[in-house]
Amino acid sequence: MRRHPLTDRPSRGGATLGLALALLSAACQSADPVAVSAPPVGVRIAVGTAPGETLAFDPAEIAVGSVVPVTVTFRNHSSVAHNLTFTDGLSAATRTIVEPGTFDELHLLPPSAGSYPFVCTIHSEMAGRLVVGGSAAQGS
Amino acid sequence: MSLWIRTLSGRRIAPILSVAVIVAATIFAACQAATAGPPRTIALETLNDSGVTGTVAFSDVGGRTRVDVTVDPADNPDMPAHIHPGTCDNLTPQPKFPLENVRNGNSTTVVPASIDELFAGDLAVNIHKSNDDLKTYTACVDIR
Repeated sequence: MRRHPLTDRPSRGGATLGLALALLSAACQSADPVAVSAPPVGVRIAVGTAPGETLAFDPAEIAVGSVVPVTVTFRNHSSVAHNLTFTDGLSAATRTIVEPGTFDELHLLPPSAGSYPFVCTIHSEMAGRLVVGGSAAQGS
Repeated sequence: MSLWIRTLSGRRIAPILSVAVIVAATIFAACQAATAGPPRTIALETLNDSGVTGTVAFSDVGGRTRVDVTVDPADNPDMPAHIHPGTCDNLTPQPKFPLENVRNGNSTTVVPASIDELFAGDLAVNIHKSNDDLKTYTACVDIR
């Protein structure tokens, strides 16, 4: 007796179709790796950019009162791409290209109290700093 | 008339499955073709005795352009890279298209412009020394 392959037994066709779709998905996906990390508990700080084409962080200076884990949410309100990249004492950066209207988060643990400068590496005149143990705009 | 199709190995598969596989294969090929335009490659010129050499390759991806930067030596820290208006001798500081940082000698970015637009003139690819030394240029090439 002939049994119907799609109804009467585990479907070999389904597996083949799944393989084809997996190949299709692989072919059409970006090759960029996606880094996933669990954010540490800590102080949250929001940093934006000025709207339009003004090249500035807003605020340009942020602070936390003590050495604690910090989550910085960088939101690009501008009409051009930016990023937020620490340049001295901290190795942390958002995506290189944070497109207008999008955001990125970075998680960091300052090694000690002090001042940590950051820039936009696309627009080197955009600069700011994170003050740890200072008194500028404090995170919550 | 049999509705079954026999594969090269002699096994039979149902027609609906055959159609699915053919459609998937066609779309797969189309996706591959969309990212497989012939690249135009230009050589970077070393600046400021950096020792940095390399190439920039431009490939069509459906009207946009994939820009692949490859530099040697590849053990530099993150090297910011941008497409600027102007020429290497007279660069406009504000980039027209940011590129992904060069890491381990490579950077790949898809920019929202066609190859023809990029090669229309008055644009240059500029490589900076590092995130904390943006003012030092290590390599550059006019796109033409």
